[in-house]
Order: sequence, then structure tokens, then C-alpha cells
Amino acid sequence: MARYVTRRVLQSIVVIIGVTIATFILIHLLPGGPARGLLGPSASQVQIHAFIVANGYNRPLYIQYGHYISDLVHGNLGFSYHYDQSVDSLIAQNLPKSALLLGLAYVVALIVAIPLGIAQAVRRNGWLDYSVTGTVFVAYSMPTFWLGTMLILLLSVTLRAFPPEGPQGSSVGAVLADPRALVLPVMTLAIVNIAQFSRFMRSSALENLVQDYVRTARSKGASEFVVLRRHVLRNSLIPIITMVGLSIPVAVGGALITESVFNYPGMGLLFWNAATTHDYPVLMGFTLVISVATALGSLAADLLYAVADPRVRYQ
Amino acid sequence: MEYPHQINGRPNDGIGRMIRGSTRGRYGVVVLSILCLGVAACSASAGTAAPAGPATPGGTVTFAEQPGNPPAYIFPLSPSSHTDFADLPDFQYLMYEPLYSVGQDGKAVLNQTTSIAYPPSYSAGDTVVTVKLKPYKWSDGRPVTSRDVQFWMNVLSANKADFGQYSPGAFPDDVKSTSYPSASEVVFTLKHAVNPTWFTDNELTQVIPIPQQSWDKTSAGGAVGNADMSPAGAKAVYNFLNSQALQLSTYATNPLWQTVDGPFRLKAFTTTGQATLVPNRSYSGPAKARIGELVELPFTTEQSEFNALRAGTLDYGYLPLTDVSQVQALQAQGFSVKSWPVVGTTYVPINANNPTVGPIFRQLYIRQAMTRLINQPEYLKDILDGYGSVDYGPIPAVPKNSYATASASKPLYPYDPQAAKSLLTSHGWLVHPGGISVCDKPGDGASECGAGIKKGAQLSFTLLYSSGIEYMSSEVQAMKTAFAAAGIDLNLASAPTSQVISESAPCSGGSACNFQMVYWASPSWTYANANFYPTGEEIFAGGGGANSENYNDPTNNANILATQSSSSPQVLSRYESYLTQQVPVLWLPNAPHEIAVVKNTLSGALPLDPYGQISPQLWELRK
Repeated sequence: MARYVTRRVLQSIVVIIGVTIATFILIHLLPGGPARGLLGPSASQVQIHAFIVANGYNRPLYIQYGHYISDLVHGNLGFSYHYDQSVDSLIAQNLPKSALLLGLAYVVALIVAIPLGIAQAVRRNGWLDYSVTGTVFVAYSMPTFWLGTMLILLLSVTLRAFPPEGPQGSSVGAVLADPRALVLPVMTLAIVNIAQFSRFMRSSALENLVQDYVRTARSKGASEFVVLRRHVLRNSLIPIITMVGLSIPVAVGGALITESVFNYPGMGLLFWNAATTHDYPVLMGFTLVISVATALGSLAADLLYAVADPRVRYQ
Repeated sequence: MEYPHQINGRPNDGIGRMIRGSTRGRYGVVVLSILCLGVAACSASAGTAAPAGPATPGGTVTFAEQPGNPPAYIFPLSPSSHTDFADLPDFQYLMYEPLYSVGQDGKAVLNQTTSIAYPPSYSAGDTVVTVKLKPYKWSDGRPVTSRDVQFWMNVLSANKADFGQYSPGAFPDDVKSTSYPSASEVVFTLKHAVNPTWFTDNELTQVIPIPQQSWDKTSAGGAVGNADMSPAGAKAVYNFLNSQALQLSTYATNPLWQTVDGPFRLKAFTTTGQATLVPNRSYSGPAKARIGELVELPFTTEQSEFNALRAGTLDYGYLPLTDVSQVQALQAQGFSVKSWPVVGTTYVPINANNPTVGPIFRQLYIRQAMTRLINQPEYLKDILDGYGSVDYGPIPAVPKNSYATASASKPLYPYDPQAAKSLLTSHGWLVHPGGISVCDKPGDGASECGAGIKKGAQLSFTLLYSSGIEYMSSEVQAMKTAFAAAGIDLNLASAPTSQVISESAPCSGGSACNFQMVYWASPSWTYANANFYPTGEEIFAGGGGANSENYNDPTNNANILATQSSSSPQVLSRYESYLTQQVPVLWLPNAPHEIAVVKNTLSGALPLDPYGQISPQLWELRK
């Protein structure tokens, strides 16, 4: 297992180094050059020259890359002239909030979707299966903004049960201090994910229910609960683990639409605003963070495969 | 350089809230404009609901900030990126009051009641300005004195390039010297005679006394002294205060910002822009705040703001244009809905310095022909649903003000496609309705196309407009159709407002001057913060910081200069009439600043200020 983990970690490091090289090249491909791109269209020639000298953009590329890596290691992702703030501080403000929102939504979705998918598989072609299948198809088909708006109209405007906005605190602690405000945005994201996860879980469980080892377990007198928990569930989780692993960069990147509908500024809105205002430092920082999250998510999924299925670690 | 979108008589981001040279400001303005289109109709039809009961002192009032544009700078010497409504009138001015404020009881006049100085006196042929301070006090009990004005002036003079409202040649460059004869007196000696109204409205309104006894230091732990008295010291002071202002998370806890002379002080602030202001109990002005707390709420989108309105969590918000059909529902919910027009102007700059089409745009008859193809009354009725007002010149007729002449509401070149075609034909163009007209007779004679226009030149232009704004899209589509009737081909392209603005910076030629026609917001420019007197030097004078059309007419430049040195109404009228006749830009109807939605239990919020400012110290909750 240690060898497997070491191999996968090293592979991830190589990927991350590749990402830094790609991001570094992207900075140099910015329209008008890195100084113009990072300072913005209103920068004067004097400012651009001063920036080039101060940041070493007049030095050989390999030296620039060394400085770039050094800055990254020290948590310096650049400076946003649009926000008058460092990129790392902007990400530090927004990433925890997005990660919290999406993380909660995924947890809720998994808690509901996994047993739901297994129940559907066990009761396949029964009324439960048909009704849940129909419901999740409807849920999965709903655009997030529409679902969120409907939830606001019903539970906030009409019933006044929950506030129409997400928590307005700027820290995770402040967000968690207002749990009622988290309900609607988490519910919106969870509903869509429940629909997705439960379908995968159902289909995966269906495949496992007809496997020899399940029949063997039953023939040995194991209860249905034990069969499902010990044999079907564990083997059926592989596709879910894949999806959760791929969800990590999504959680880091935020949910633009949900954040907009529920007035919950996070990484999604940060990226959108950066894209519409040509805030390249933020875009570059965001790209780097997402790329690293993708590599780490993939690594986490691979490691969890090995936990769920011992055969993986010996391959 | 200043850009449209700024509050102070500057370009708008589209929402009507514009301050000098701020891209953020512009953006926010645009958004607001979008939100507001329905206002005029609202105001006309959406009357105020039944009056609320007796006043209840205290209570919390929630106020909606512009979408995606929260306050983010507290030090009242703002850089250009922080000179919009969110940063100045909705935030800074509530804590730190300018020497002079403009707008009173819904009228476009100098507000002598809330200004912290008595009306200035002008002498020596209007080259000396004497300002006497009223007996105001800081929240720490110390009096507001001329030393506080001097402190601001010193910091400004040493750092003027960092001041968002600075334009080379204008304040403080036009001040020869400043003296402070007493604790309550400031004397500005100017380099030349000025129009007192212009100087007061556009220059003195920039001055904001700041607490020298608390802020005159160069580090958090440093002692307060007189560092500002030397340029190097003033730079160091600015660097320190600016660095503190960039730390949003410390706004409510940094003792610096707790010394205020305005009606409010900051109680809490989040990095997302939620500001909680409470009354300054030591406020020495005329109207002490009667509410217990003002919470300014940030919103990511206008839709999330509207959701909050419908859910009843806002006392003062705005209605997105796309939701104008909800006016009655809001009224039934206990809100008053009012159109909020501001003193601004809406136009499509046409780039006279564009290497290709610039020579065409420099022809007066071309500009007249294009103007005759814009049916403003129809746009107002069918696209803006009646919200807004027609605008035919640099000074709008609505809201009512003392500057506009009759030409502001009466078109000099009314919609007349036939007249447009005749103008083109009579100047040597082969007009191809539905196609592209071409120049048949080059030359600068009376019946020829004009200087710089070659034979075969085509009347085909690209109009770049802000994306995501429904009424703007409809307007440019209508223009495209109408222009086609005269063989003028408009190629429409859209981009985010910030991009439209950045691509339309004033230019003198070359690759940076490639844009042809742009439309970033309505109003495109609002005469507000420190630009109340509508002389238009920044948007229409040659070399103006926001002169995107690159219009440079000696007569107009002279007219503008005259408005700055003469207080005669005829001088301002001459400027306005000439520009209306010259049509340096294509004027379009003004959309309202926003459609204000105010709970009936909140009194004092109406009438709405013609410069888009709020005065929460006058607000009061009622049962």
C-alpha cells in the first residue's frame, strides 16, 4: 500500500509542476505581455516599465520561473489591481466559503443518495424504483437557478421559513453561525447531486447484486443487511468515489449560479468577476488552485479506490 | 484620466451612479441603470402606499448595495478605483462629510443646511475664495478646524496622482496658494478667475476635512504630529492611511476610522462589503440620525436583491427592470416604488480619431443624419416602458434643474429618415437603403463627402455595447434597423461593460484607437460627486479624461472654459446649445438611476436625490 501511495503522490507532484509551467506560460501569453495583462489596460508605460523591472520580467525565463515557483511556495499568487488585494487573500476569503457550501451539499447528497440508490437496486422495477427514478430525473433536469429560485419563492417568500440569502459572514465561523441561511443553498446543490449520485449508485449496485460473491454470501446464510453492507455497498462505491474525487475541484471552484442566486459570494463569483473584468492575476491564481485541486482530487480518489477495493493497490 | 461611470459628474457604469474615473464605479452604475429602467413608470404609477404610523426611534434599516459593487475604501481620499456611489455617498460621506454637499429636498441645489461650511465668499475678481467652517465637532469631541482642511489639502497635494477625482490642471492645480487665517477659515487663492458656482460645485465639493489630531502619523504605532507639513511626510501619511484602508477586515476595529464628523460611524464591516453603521452620538450637524442602525447589504446580482425584497428582508432596495411587472406585488407588500432620475446624460460616443471611420464621424452632416435616425420618444415608450426621459444634449431636462434649456427636451434634429437620406445624398453619398451607402464625391466642398473621406468609403460601423442589459440590446437593435433605412450599416458587438469602457478610452490614433462606436450605460455620465455643475469638461472638451468620442472643437472648448470662469446662465446655455447643435455624440434616452423600492414604514427616504445620494440621517422607522 505504501508503495502505491508513494507512486501516486509522486505522479501528482509531476502533474502539479506541469500545471505551474502551463500557468507560467499563460501569464506570458497575456495580451500585451505580462505587465500589461497584470496591471490592466489603464496602466501607463512608466508603470509598465517599473513593473517589469520590479518583477524581473526583463530577466531570462528560467530565472522568472524560479521566482514564480518561489512566490507560489510562499503563498504569493499575485496582486489584483481590480480589488486592490493580493490574490491569495482573495482566494483565502472565498475558497473556504465555497468549499463549505459545496462540501455540505455533497455530504447531504451522499447521505441520501447512497442508501437511496441501493434501495432502488434492491427494489428494482418496483414502485419505489419507478417513483424515485422519475423524481430524480426531474430533479436532475432542473436548472440550478430555477430550482434555487423556486425554493426561495416557496420557502422564503411564501412560507418565510428560511432567509432568501446564504449566510453573509465573511468567515467560515460566521457562516456556520447562521445555519438557517445555509439551508436553501445547500438544499439546491444537494438535490441536483442526489439525483446524479443515486443513479450511479443504483446502477453500480445492480451490477454487484448479480455477482457470484453476493450469491455465495447469501448461500452461506448471511442476512440481507450484511450482504448489502459488506459486499454490495463497498463494491458499488467505486463510481461514487470517482465522482467525489472529481467533485473536489468543483468544490474549490465554487458554484457560480448557486452563489449568485443566494447572494453567497465565493470562488464561482470571484472567477466570473475576474473573467469579465480582465483580472488576469485572479484568473491565473484561480486556474492554479483549481488545477492543484484536480490533481489532489484525483489522488484522493485513487487512494480511496485502494481502500474500497484491495485489488487496486496490487496492480 | 477619468472614465465614465464615476459618480462625480463622471461617466456612468450604466446604472446611473457614476463617480470620477472609476471602472468599478462605472460597472456598478451600469448595473443600476439596468435595474432602473422601470423607474419612471413606477414613479408615475406606483404611488406611495398608506402612510405609516408614528415614528419609532431606533430600529435597524437594511439598505441594498448595488449588485457586485460593495464599498471597499474608507479613507476619504479615494483612488480612481473607489470613486463610485458605493464608496463615496453611500459610505464615506456618511462618516466624513465634504465641505459642501449638493442636492436638497430632491432639488439640484447646493445644500447649505448639511454643508459643514458656510457658503463660500468670492472676492478679488473671483480669484480668492474664503471658506468659513461651521462649528462642527469630531466624534472625539475636538472641533473640526481649518487644520483638518489643511491636513487633507497637504495629503492631496503630495499624492494628487493617487486621487481618483484629480484631473491635471483642475483642483488643486488651479489653486495658487491656500492659507488658514484662523481655526475656522480657509482662503484659496486661485491662479485665475473662476465661475463661483462651478468652483463650489465641482472643486470645493471634493474637499473633505479629515481628523488631523488622529490621522497625522506614518505608522500605526507612531505618534500623531505634523508629518503632513512636508511633502515627504504627507506622502508617508498617505501611504500609511492608504495601507490601512486596504485592510477591509479591520475597518470596524481600527481606531483610526472611529473618529468621524458625519452622522454615522462604522460598527461592523465584512470583507464582502456588508457595512453596519450606527449614529454618531456626538454628531454636531443639523440632523442627528434617528434610526438605530443602518445595515448596507451587498448583493451578487440584482435578482438576489429582488429575492430579498420579496422576502421582506430589505427596507430600501431597487427593482430590477426585468421585474417591473412586480410593482403592484411590491406595493401590496407595503413598499413604495419610485423612479429615480439623476442629472446625467446618455450617449453613444463615435470615435472621431478612429483611423478608418474617424474622418466620417468628423462631418457634422453625418452626425446630424445619424441623429435623425434615432427615434427617442419611441425608444422611451417601447423599450424603456416609459421609464426615463428623452435627452438631446449634454444637460438633461429631467430631473428638473436650473441648468437645462428648452433644447434639452426638444429635439433639434427630430427623427426623420428622409431628412437623413437627403443629408447624405446632398453631400455626395450614393445612398443604398438596406445596403451600404458609399461616397461618390470625395472632397471637402459643400456637396462633397468631406475632408479625409475617400471615394468608395462606406457607411459601415461597428457598435460595441454592454452585454447582458436587455434594454440596451433593444436600443442598438432599433438603431441598426433605422440606420439601415439610410444605408448606414451597423455591426453590433457586445462585451462586458468593463471591457466596453476599457476599449473606449480617449485616444489620439493608432491601434489603441480602433473602436468606432460604443455604448456602455445609461446614463452614460452622471453629474454627481464633485461634478455637479454640468460643464462637461471631462466628456466633451478636447483632451477630456472621459472624452471617448475624441471630439475636439475649438468653439466648444472655449465655451467650456467660459463656463468655468463666468457664472452667467447665458454662458452655460451657449455651451449647451452649441453642443446640442454639433451632436458630438449620438444622444439616447436617459434611463433612471434606479427604481427605488422603499418600505412604507421607512420615512424620510423621499424625495430622491437628483444626484443619486442617500441621506439616512433623515430616515425614520414608523409603526
